[in-house]
Amino acid sequence: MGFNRGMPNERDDRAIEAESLTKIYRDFWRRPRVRALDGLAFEVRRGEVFGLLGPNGSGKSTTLKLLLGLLHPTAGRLTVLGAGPRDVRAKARIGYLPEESYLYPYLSADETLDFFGRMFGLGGAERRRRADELLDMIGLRHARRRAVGEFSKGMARRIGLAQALINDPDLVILDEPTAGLDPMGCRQIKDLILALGRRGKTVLLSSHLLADVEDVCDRILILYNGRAQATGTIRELLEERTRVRVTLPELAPEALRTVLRHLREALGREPDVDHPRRDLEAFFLETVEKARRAAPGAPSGAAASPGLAPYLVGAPPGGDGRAAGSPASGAGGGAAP
Amino acid sequence: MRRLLAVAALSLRSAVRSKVLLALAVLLALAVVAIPLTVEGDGTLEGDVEILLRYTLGAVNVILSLAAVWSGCGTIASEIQDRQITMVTTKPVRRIEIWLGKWLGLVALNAVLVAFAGALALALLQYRVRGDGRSADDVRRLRDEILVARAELRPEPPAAAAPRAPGGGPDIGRRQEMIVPPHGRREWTFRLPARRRDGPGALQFVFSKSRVDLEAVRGRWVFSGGPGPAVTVEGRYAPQAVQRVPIPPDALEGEVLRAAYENAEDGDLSILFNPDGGLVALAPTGGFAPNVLRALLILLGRLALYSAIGLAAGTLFSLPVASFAAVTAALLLHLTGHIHAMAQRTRYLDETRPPTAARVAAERFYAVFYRALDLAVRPLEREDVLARVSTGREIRWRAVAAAAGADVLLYGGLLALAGAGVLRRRELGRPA
Repeated sequence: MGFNRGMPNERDDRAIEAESLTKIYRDFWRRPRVRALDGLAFEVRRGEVFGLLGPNGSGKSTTLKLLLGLLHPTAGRLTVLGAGPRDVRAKARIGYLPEESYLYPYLSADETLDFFGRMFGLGGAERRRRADELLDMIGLRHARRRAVGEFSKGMARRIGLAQALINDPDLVILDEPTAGLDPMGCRQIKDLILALGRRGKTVLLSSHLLADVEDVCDRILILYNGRAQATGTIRELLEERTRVRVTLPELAPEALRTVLRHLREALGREPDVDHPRRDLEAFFLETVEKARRAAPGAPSGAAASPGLAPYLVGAPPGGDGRAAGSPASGAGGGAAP
Repeated sequence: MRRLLAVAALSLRSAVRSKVLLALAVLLALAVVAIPLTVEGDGTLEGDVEILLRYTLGAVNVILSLAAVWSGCGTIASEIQDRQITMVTTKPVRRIEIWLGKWLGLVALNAVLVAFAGALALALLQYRVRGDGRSADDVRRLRDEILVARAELRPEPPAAAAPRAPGGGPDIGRRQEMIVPPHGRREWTFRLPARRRDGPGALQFVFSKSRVDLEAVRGRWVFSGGPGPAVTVEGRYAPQAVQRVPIPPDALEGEVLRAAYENAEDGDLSILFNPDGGLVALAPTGGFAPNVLRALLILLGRLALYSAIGLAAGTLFSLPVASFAAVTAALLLHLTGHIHAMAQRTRYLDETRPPTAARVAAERFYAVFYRALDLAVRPLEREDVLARVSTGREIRWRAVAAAAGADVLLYGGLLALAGAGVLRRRELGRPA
């Protein structure tokens, strides 16, 4: 068992490396109770969006907590950004959004971001700038003076996300980031993840929402009983090489009959034909956007976001860096520095 | 340092926002205002002042001590339980910075409350002593004799020791030096401190007499040592009671004060001044407010230690267990005298019963246990600073430094290291 305790190794292109990682939870008398991880090995490359999937109790949260130094491995080796997970130099480059928003309820949104900015040693002016930009990004500028304890779960989640990004991290660890968020918030998170990935940031995402993971991740790891069951790119794992889908614009009935006849002859059986459907998320976002345009005004909850925080897309202080797409646009792009 | 201060500010803000500061301030105000109304003094000016200071500041001390232990436990134990601590420990901040930041925040909170309660008690004292239609003489006595800081001076050992009883050891010799024979005279010398302020001193004494009754005796005190002539104060003094006679300011202007007692009682009556603090010269050295400030600083140091005990317990245990453990540890600090007495004993079990192997082992265990405990808590033994300040006795800066060194730096530092070590080792992400 052990961490890499040496100097962070910047030349290594692996942001995270786990070898034979085992975690056994013991009771008060040190008797083993649960083997949460069992010889897990995986790596996450720098600039990659990596998804950690698995049913409840499969070891996802344990893995994240080991990466953050909140648990100690029973056996195995773990390196995060070239250093041990408890190395403060590595922590300075990590942003973490936990599954629940463990925020101080008596602090306002502003104070929360200011406090965590101080934890990263940011100067006063920089903290204020980043807090302003993040509050704009998460659509809570109007609620910046309200105590976080008065926030809805979704609003608290947004503040949790903002604090995870206050240090412009190289590695972002998100545990169920869309839990408690409305579809717009989910879309925004996904846009953010994509934008961060485009900026060369490494994102480690743990989620139950498979569609979300599929939308944003380059590679995934599926855990079950503390062991890796499958790992690879989304395309490698999901592509069915034995089937082909052809999407056509709407055809005249005669043309369609001709195409189907040819397909029937080629396949030797009746092909499956239907109309493609839009996904519900896109439909919902479009509907809400229409409603918002029809009835403008200050929302009671999270407001529409103008885009990603400029400092996250590499914009200089005071510059008009709000180049990233709005959540509704689904672009999240323009995010390249 | 910036991170440490941020954690400290967070703790302080938590106390303000959660109304802890307000609740404690209200409680302290009630204690300071209500206690003098419910406790009767002995009718003297000194008694009134002592009651007001000793009882009110004593109540303040008790309230803040309990609050310090409890808030110390709650600050970190509840954050561990609610998982907020995981948001901080995943940032680039060392565990010792978190621990010290929390501690600093609690000390700042206690400092605010001690300052508030101290200022309130002093304001109330001013109101009471001025608002009761005091005479000019009372006001003068308050200013010169009660609301001052006076050094306690013990007599110097005589250059040529008085003849000792045959076979007498040092204690007997010391007793000999405190005896004034029938119609006799004995003089003691007190070395005066370099820093003094104008004002009258006092000689405080307790004596026994060779005849067992409580009848007052006649005697004369002769004070000299200053540039002026010797001054004689004649009176009748009761045995077995604390007596005070004023020392004229002139006698306090030299490097030493000489005080001689002339036994003017008829017959063959001898006077024995109590060898342990039965003869003390009180010489004014400073103002009352700085003396109160020093007392409050010593109290604050002890509150800092209580907070550290609470924090250390809260780091190790859940809130209910931590509260119990921390209160127990804090109570031990109040039993330093008892622990010391137990450590001095040679037998702990019933001596009349025959010694068995088990009893011998138990004796050894008790001896080691009490001696180790005594060794551990001995540096924390303190004189009652509230008793000193309420009777106008000086608390020296040296005492403040010693209290800060032991309570804050030594024991607080050890607890900080232990607490940070536990926080570092503890798995804060374990499933509940």
